[in-house]
Amino acid sequence: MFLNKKILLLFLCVGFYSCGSVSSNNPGSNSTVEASDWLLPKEEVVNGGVAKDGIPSLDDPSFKQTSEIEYVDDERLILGVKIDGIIKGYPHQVMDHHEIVNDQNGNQPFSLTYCPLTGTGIAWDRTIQGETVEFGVSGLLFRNNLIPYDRKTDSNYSQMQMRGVQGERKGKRLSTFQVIQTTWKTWKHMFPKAKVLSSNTGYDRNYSQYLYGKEYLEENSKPLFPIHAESEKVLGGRPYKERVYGIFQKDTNIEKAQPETFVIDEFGNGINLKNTLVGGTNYVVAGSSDLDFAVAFEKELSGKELDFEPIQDSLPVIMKDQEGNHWDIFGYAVEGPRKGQRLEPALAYYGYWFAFGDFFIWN
Amino acid sequence: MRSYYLLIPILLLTVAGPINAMAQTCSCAGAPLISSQSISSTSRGNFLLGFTMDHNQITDLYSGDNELQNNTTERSTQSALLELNYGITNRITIAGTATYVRKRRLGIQSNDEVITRGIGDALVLLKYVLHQNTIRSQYQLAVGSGVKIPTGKSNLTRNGIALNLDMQPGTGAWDGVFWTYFSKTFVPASTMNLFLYSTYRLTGTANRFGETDRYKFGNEWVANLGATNSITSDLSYIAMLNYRSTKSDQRNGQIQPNTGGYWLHLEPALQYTLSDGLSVKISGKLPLYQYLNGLQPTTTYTASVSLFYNFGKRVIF
Repeated sequence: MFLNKKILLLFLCVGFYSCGSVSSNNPGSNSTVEASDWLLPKEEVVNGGVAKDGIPSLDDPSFKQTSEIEYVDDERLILGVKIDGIIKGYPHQVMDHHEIVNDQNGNQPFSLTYCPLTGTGIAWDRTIQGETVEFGVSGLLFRNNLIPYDRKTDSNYSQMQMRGVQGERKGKRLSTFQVIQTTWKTWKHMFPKAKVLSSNTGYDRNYSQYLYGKEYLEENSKPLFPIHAESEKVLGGRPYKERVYGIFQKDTNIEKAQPETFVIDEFGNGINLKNTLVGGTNYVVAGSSDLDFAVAFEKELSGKELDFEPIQDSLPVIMKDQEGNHWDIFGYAVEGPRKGQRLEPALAYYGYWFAFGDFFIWN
Repeated sequence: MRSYYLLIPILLLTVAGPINAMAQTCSCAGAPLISSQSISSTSRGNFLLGFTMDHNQITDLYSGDNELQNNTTERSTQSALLELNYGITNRITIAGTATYVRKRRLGIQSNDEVITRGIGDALVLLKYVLHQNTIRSQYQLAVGSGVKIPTGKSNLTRNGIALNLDMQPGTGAWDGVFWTYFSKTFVPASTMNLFLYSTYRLTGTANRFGETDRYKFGNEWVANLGATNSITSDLSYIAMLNYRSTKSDQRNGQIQPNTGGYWLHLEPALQYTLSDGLSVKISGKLPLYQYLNGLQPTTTYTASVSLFYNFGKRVIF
């Protein structure tokens, strides 16, 4: 009986010790963040489920020629840039796993960022205070959207707001580059010799899979994290994952931005053009449902407003103007008196309809 | 003979589990609350206490059944489980398990470490012995049901930012739990004891971000098939196969990617009787096979040490 009491006491002591206070600890973290330090509503910033750099950025990317790439299916999407005259493609299949590629074309360092949850792909200059820096995945999300951080100042950024939102770089706008998005089938046709991100990334991943499930790409499937009730109202019953191309006013106050959105599937087959006025600037928007892209450029070049009409079956050339210039998908004149000149790309990116609605429309 | 018929629906229920468990959840970072229910029942007035310390090392990375090199994140979960069983009658036992959980997640490249700790969820089960083991009919069959109580916090934050659910000590939800236990002895031919026990957790939902955001962990099913026998008068071994499956988590009815899967582990153990009524058990789990939906970190191994003390005359295993 005496032994029984001692044993019971032992268990109870252990039990009481176990009932200690609940705590959260981050001894190894290199950032201690005050609530007032954020430009975003703090209560809407959430941990997406991975550690900082738990989704590893690609910092030494390797590329192959388009024709040598075998891991991408025709209907899968690819992001593309033309920076310093070099065209590069970044298939979603790799970007789903890494979200950020720290890259360089010529003398221009840039980061290509992609958020699989909002479907937004944005490239920006990764020069900070004259120094080339790397961006990484913080593991945090704001309204489903990627929050990258830079490894020099440890500042956090909102991808869709294209600016620093916490830390030393808070409030600093990022200088972006035009990004196109299309299917692998269209890409192969347009740029058979371009460089495309290789699946040889240095990481052991299954790049053939749909990382967030094929269902996540279905138009009517819901976002991973909830969106505002107000956003639900302004979505107007349109599918959450309808892919749109949003054009922002130049020098816009991003917090109050009201981007003009174009639904990719509403351009119709072949290449079609739309004219739009955003913040006092006239833009031509070229898009195609079956070829699966949209791009927008300022209509005015060198003080003259150009009028465009589409060119079919000549990709990557998409339109011509009244002067006889032929323009490609990156806005370069490839033929005509302005050959070599470039139309000014709009501040714009692709994304899911719900993301634009939740980020901008209802604000 | 009639009592054997009782086995049929129980075994069918047990076998039916994997059929319903095609797409399931990772959730391997939780305390082993469900899989710890190894004690069958106690006799009337008997009081059985168990205390387990468990370490779950989560450094493997899987996509489907393919193991991938993991050079991004390390995780581990340490759990303390305090289990009490009390025999209300010779057939009815009430069991309660309380947990304390410590979870660690390290981003290798960034050296970003997060540790959460706190009281985890608790489990209360009422067990009923359908058939007692006797010398003439050497098997025992018991069933039980109960609830998993969300005593653990599920809203811990780090620097004011909500941590992911798998880093929380609790799930935030009330769950229904159904338990079955079968064992067979072979006295006097052998001192071996074969056993099969199974637990099914029908998960509830909990608010996550606001009242309209309802999160549901995937239903979980755990089955253990094993044998135990004496090595010496004080030492015995336990060899067990542990099968676990979880369905994918759901948020507002929508399946969450990269959750759910099934696992088959080998779980060897040694149990040593320290004194009358007091015994110690050391055990571990090694993965034999696993299939995980999408891409998920998962258990590399577990190691446990348990103390059991029986305050009464006898324990029925």
